[in-house]
Amino acid sequence: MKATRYWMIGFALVACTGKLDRAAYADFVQNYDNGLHVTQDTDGFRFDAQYQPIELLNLWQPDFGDNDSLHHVVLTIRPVDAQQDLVRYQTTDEEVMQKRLYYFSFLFQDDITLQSDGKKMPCVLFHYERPADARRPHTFVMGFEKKPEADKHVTLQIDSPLISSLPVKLEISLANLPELAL
Amino acid sequence: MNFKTTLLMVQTIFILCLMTYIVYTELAEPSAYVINQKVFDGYAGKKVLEDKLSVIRKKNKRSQDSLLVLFTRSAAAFDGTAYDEMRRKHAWQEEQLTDEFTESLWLRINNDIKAFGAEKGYAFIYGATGDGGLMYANEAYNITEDVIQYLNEKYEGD
Repeated sequence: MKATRYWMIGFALVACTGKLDRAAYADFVQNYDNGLHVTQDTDGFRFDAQYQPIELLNLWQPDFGDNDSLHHVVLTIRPVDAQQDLVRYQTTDEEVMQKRLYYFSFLFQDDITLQSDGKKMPCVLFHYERPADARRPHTFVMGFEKKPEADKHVTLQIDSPLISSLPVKLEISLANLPELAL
Repeated sequence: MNFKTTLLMVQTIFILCLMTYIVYTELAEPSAYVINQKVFDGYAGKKVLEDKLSVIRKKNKRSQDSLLVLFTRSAAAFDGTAYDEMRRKHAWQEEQLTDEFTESLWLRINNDIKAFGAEKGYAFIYGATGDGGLMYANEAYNITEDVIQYLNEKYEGD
């Protein structure tokens, strides 16, 4: 009985502060309707960008730490035709595939920026994961420099000659970022 | 059948036809047109690719000028063949890039106009090219400016 009462008081306090519990917070951040997780089909490719606030990273990896100096974004890319692999897209030439693999492993980092208020923030942390199953999307785990002032909107810009002549832009909204109830 | 009954029947048929027409026009998906060249020129992506091409052109020009200066300053006789070869190569590269960029722009514009049409509920969006494909259209159906605004918002990732 006592436990129920404490739980109810705790719940009421959380509800009053507008903070979300761990599961609700993770759901909120991953929901496409809340602006932190965006997907877009452009020029034959499907882009999916998940913004990862430091609170979410700490939920998933408790030893992640509290260094909040970077914007963390996980980007996945695959051809809209799900049967095709990103590095094998419209080619069977082994040399072309190897060049693409090298490009996505190293050079792609220089072609991605995060923009806010006209300022370009470079990608300073980059990790590429090639899927074992060719039909799965390729994953890029990235970190971008953070301005001292808080951003309400940021735009992930991919200006890659291997993807499109035109830059691909994905707008991420940080305006609705909730607080996590600890 | 007297005159009054006939008149009543004609009136009823007329009202029914009018109502059917109103319902049909209200429910039917609208059609509209855009002026292709204006959409192309107003698209924000065009400026980005023009700037990219301009950077490449300037770089090529600098290489050509450097080669020319090198020949002028050196004691060796001016080798016009190497210079012409470089100019030809650069011209070909710039032409290829212009074609590639134009193709990319139209690909992106066409895809985004499809999205615009689906979102706004249009049955058809015609592209007026000025070559007689669309001989006449009422200005009220011209949605060029709306399309340019939509494309540019989408280009910015909105």
